[in-house]
Amino acid sequence: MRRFLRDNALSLFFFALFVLALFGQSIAGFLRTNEDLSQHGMPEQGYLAFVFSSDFVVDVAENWQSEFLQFLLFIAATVWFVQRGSPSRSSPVTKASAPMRIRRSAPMQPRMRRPARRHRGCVASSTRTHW
Amino acid sequence: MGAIFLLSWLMQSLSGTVVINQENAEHGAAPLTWLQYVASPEFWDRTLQNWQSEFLAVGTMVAFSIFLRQRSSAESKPVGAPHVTTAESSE
Repeated sequence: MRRFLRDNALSLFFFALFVLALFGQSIAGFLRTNEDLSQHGMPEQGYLAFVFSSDFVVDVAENWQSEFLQFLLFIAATVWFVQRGSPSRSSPVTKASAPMRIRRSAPMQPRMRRPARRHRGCVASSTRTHW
Repeated sequence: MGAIFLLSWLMQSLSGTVVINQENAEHGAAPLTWLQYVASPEFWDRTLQNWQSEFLAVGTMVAFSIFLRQRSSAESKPVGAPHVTTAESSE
């Protein structure tokens, strides 16, 4: 469990912040719409009623929409555009720069005299490699 | 970057005060001071809804980029790289 928390700390941190901000937004939005309603002489609504109202849902949805657009455009644009000085890869990934995939269409060969060290993600292998 | 964030938040609070006072004038309600606006649910609703979506965006990007690929993108791991490798070790 501790390992899970450590390994995924970044995602968990942002997910926690997201939940907190969403909850805070629901409270603030609830107070705001009730202020508006009472200003217009209409009855105030309960918290649950607000959270399921289109008022809240449209605010959440419009923000998600723009974030996912940002996400999509960033990923797509980085296929064609580079930014000098960026900490990301300086050029698009091509077949030449990608590591070889090791596919086993035949059963493993019996161990040779000096089997290659196997590390995760390592390209070297003593078994036959096929594209 | 922290300064830029604070400045933009300040800009949001100042322009928000102007907007709400314009609306209040239309409704014949009293104008709010900047301090009153910053304590209002309207300001916090706007702030938190934007924060909420930003955190969601960063979090999903961090999480999804482990598993998803985009061929030729400089932001993606190579398409054939296993999920456990990081972008550095997959090159």
